[in-house]
Amino acid sequence: MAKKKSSGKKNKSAEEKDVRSEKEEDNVPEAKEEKPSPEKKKSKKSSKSSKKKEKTVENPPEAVEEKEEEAVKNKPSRKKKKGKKSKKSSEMPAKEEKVSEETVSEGLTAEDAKEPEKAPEDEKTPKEEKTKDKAIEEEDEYAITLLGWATAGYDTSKLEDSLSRGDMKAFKKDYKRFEKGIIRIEEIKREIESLNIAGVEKEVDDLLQVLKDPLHTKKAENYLERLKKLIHAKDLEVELESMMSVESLKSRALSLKDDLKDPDNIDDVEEQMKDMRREFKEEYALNQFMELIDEKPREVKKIKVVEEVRKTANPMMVKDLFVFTSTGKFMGHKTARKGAIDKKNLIEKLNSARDIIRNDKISPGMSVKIPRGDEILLVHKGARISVGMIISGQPHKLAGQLLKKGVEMMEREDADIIKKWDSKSKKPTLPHMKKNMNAIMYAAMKLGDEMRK
Amino acid sequence: MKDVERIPTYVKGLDEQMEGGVPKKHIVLVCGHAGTMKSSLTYSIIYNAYKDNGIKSVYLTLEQGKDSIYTHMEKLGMPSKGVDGVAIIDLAKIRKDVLLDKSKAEKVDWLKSIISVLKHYKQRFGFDVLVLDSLAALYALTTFKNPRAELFYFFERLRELDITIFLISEIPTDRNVYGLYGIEDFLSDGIIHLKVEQTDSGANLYLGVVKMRTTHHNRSFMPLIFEDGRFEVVQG
Repeated sequence: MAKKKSSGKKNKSAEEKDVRSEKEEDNVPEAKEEKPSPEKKKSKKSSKSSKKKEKTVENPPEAVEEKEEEAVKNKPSRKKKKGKKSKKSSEMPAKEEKVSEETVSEGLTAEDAKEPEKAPEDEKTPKEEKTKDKAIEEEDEYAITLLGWATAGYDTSKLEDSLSRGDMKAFKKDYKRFEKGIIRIEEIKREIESLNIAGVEKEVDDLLQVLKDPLHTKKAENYLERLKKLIHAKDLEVELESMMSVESLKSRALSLKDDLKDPDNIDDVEEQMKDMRREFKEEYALNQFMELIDEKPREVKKIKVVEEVRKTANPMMVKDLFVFTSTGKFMGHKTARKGAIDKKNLIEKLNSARDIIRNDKISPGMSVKIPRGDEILLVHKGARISVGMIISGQPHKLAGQLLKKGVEMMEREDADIIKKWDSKSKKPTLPHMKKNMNAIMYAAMKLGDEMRK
Repeated sequence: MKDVERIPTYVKGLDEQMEGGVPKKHIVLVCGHAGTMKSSLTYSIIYNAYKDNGIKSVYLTLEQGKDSIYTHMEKLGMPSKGVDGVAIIDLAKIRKDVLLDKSKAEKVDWLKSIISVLKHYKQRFGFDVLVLDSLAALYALTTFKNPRAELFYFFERLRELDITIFLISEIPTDRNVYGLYGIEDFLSDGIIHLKVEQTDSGANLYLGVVKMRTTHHNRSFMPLIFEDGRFEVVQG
C-alpha cells in the first residue's frame, strides 16, 4: 500500500511537492507522537487549518467538492484507524527502513522519501481533516473514560470491543447504557451498605461480582432482591426464635422457621407471623405482669440453691462459724481451716451472713442457705443472737436445726447479759459464747461423720 | 400556631366536627352507661388507625376476656386475623386468678404494675394508643386511701407514656359525673359521652363530645349508628 501511494505521488508537480513538503514537516512529528496534550492538539489544529485555507485557494471549488465526495466514499473504517494507531509505534521504524532502501538508489534523502506517504492525506479537504481530528479526539476521550471506569473496577471489555469495532453509533449506544448502569450500580452499592449483611456475606460477594458489569443492571437488581429476601428471612428467623419462648407459639414458630429455608416462602411466612406477633406481644405483656405480681423470683432462687447443693455430693465439712448480734454486729469467729486463711474470701462470706441478718424480710427464727463459690453459707437468725456457718460439701438435713439449737443455747445461757444489752451500746461479752461455738462446731462435725458413714 | 396532630375517631361525620379527631397524646374519657358501645367505639378507633395509618395500639382489658372481645369485634366487621398492630392485654383473666388468692390480691399494686408493664411493652414493641377498659374495673382492684392524690399520680404516670389514651369509664347511675371519683373529667383532656335514650320504638344511641382540649368541636349530642362495619353520627 505504502509503495503504491509513494509511486503515485512522484508524478505530481514540483509546486505541489513544495506545499506537501511544508505539510510533511508539520505532519511527521505529529505521526510520531502517540498522545498529544490538549494544548498541543489545539496549536496543531490552528496551523493545519491555516494551511488548509491556503490549499483551498490553490484548488478550485469544484475540485474541492469532488475530493470531499471522494473522501466520504473512501472514508476509512474505525477499525483501520485503530489498527493504524496501535501499530504506530511498532511499524513506523520498519517503514522508514524500507523507504530508505528504495530511495537511496534514486539519490533522495530519507526526508524526501517520506513525502509521498503523506500525500493522500494532503488530498483531503479541510472539512474532512477537521472531522477526522474530531473523531480521534472523541475516541481518545472515550478511551480515557473507559480507563477510568476500568480503574474503578468496572468490566469495560465489552465497551472496548465495541469501540474497537469502529461503529461509533453502536458504541455510543452501549456507552450510554454503561453510563446509566454505573449510576444504578452506585445506588445499589449504597443500598448494600445500608443492609445488615451478617450471615449473607457470600451472597454479597456474588452481587459485587455482578456489579462489575454495568451493562447488566437487571441481573444485579435481581441479585439485590434475592439478597434482601435472605436478610429479611434471617430477621424473621430471629423473631421466630424469640417467639419460641411462648409455649403456645413454639410448634408454629418451628414450622415457619423451617419454611424460611426457601426465601421464596417469605411472604407466606410473614402473613402467618402477623397473628403470632400479636399473640407473642400479648403473652409477653401478661408474663411481665405476672412477674411483677408474683413472688416467682424467690422461688427461682430456692430452686437454684437446691440445684447447687445437689451438685456437691460430698459430706458436710464445717469450715467457719460466726456469731453476730441481732443487728449484725460481729461477736466471734471460730475456724476449722488449716494453714493460711484467705482473709478476703472469709470477709466476703462474713458480709454475706451479715446482709442476711440485716435483711428485714428474714424474720427471727428463720434459717437461710446460700451457695458461695464452692462452699455454702448457712445462717440462722435469732431474736438476739445470730450465727453463720460456712460448710463445704452437702449440708446435713439437720444442719439448720443444729444452728437453731446453738442460737437458742447462747440466748438462754447468757440471757441476763443479752436482755440488759441495748443494741445501740457496745456489744456485750458473752461468757458462754466460746463454749457454745465449740459445741456447734463439734456437733456439725459429727453430722458430717454420720453422712460419711 | 403549630398544627396539632390528631387521631381520627373514624366515626363518619364526627371527625369533621372536631378538627379531624382526637389530638395525639391526649387522655380521653369514653364514658357512658352499660351497653352504650364504649368498647366497640374505642376498638374501632384503634383498629382503623392501624389499618389506615399503621398506628400500633394496646387494648388493656380488665373486664371482658380477650377471646370474647375478638369474637365480638369480628362480628362487627373488625377481624383480628392478620392484624398485628392491635394487641389485647387480657388482665381480666389475671384479675380473676389474683382475686381468688386473697393474700396475693392484697399485695398487688395494680396501678403501679400496669404502668410498669406498659412502659416495658412500649420500649420493646412500641405503641401509640392505649385503651384501658375500664376505670371502674381498675378501681375495684385498688383500695384508695386518698383517691384524688392517687388518681392524679396515676394520670401523671399515664401521661409519661407519651401516647394517646382512651379510658373507658362507666358512669355511675346515681350521680351526674363521668367517673366514679368525680375527678376523672378534670384530669383528662377530653370526654366523649355515649348515652342511650329510650323512645317509643326502642332505644337510640347518642354521642357527644363534651370536652376536647385544643379542639373546636360541636358540643351537641348526635345520634350514633353502626352500619356496614363503621360508626356514623347523624347530623340534624
